[in-house]
Amino acid sequence: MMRALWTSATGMAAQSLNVDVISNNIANVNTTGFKRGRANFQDLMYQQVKAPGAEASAAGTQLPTGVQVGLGVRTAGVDSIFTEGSFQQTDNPLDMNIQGRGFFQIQLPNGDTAYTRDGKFSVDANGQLVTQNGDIVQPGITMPADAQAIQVSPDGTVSAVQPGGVQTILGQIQIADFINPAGLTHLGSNLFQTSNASGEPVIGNPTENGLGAVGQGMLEMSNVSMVEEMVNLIAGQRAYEMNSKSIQAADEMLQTANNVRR
Amino acid sequence: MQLGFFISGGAGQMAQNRLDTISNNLANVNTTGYMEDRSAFSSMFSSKVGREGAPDSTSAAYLSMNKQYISTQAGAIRETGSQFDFAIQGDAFFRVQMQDGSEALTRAGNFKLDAQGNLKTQGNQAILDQNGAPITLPLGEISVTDNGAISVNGQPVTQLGLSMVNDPRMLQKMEGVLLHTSATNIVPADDSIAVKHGALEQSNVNSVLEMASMISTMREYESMMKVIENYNQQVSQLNDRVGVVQA
Repeated sequence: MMRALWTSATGMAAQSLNVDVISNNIANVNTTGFKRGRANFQDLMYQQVKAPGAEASAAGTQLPTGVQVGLGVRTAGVDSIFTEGSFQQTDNPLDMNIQGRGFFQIQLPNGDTAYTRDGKFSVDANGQLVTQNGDIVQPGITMPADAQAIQVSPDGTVSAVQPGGVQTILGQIQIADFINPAGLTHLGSNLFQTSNASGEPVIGNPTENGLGAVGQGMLEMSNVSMVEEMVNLIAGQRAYEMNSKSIQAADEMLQTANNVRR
Repeated sequence: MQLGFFISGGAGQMAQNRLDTISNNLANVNTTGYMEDRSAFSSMFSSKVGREGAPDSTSAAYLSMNKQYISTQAGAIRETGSQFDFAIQGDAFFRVQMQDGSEALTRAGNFKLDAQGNLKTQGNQAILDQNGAPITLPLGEISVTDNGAISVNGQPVTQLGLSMVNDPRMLQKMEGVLLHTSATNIVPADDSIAVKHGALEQSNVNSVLEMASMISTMREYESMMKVIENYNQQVSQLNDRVGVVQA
């Protein structure tokens, strides 16, 4: 049977995954701290029909080029692109962001540490700084009940102003950096976890050793660009269609062949 | 049997081969750095099929898949803004180290890092610098100049290795958007080559042209099949009528 059928099938499968990734990006266009994904494709193996440089005749002449028939495409991986999203002013003192490299450290209920760029924090019943899911921000910071104002400096120091104008330092937020952030595993809920590909976290104080600065009253938006995603969606959909046309062409050719003998 | 059966059958087979190539190009229409395959056909005299040296005594000729070449035309460059995306402007290639230590070339600049900071292709092959050593980047913000020199946090670290080929016809494709050619065919890139950081070269497949050749291939195949049908009718008429004694 014709190679074209399976070659085009790989093309359709790849473009379908491409559209899946784009859809997820579009769905998260308003998700704080979301990092867009990108599917990367590679061609599959080639069937060698004639090698270049092979003997062309008994006189010893050589073929200048060969014949190789490619067998389609495969998905090499889906990367997360860690470019910085734009920042949105919220004026909520517990909304934080990182300008530059780094991730907030979050303690999961099972004791593991997760990492996030989403700085939309709240205070729980015990006064602890937590994420929207109630997971504790590391290192733990506890707000006094009578705090009148909360201040976060660029180096991550959190202080509270208490009655009488007394300023108390509550702690310092530390952030983690990775040699390969794209290798982090997605946990959902804007959280990432270390993997063999990401490397070990390098933990430090904000603004030191190339780490970013912590900002207050602003949130990092999703880094999805709607226009780009729409263009990618169109390109992906059309590529899918073209591959389906190849299947149709192969099918029609086989049909013609079958009709030769009546 | 009539030679025509096999000549048109062979031509049909070549049309299938061509559709295979078109399908592969279309499957890779969104593959970064992919270069399209083109096929060229030639005729082969039927009298030459049997033995060499015999004179060409027939006008009938077989269609043969003569060669296939890679279109090295540059694809469109798309801005991505991603840290580890690189595109080459000019006829050069990135140097890639295969698992067996040999060197391959690629135009696909969608690189990634591993946990040790080694710069890798999407297929996990190491990217080489201009001296042929694998590139390892320290932690930090990277910036790249036009000639491919990479700095991390403002400190120069390494330079992307770029190669050109003397004869692009000798390039062979390998899985993973990689190209292979003999070491003697590879020369270091000259100054005309520029590297663009945060951009990727798209596949150079011209989808309109591919769709057009797909249609023409399909129709060619159909007409070949029609020829076979006609031969078939002829033979059946021959069998039916010749030698029939009319009463």
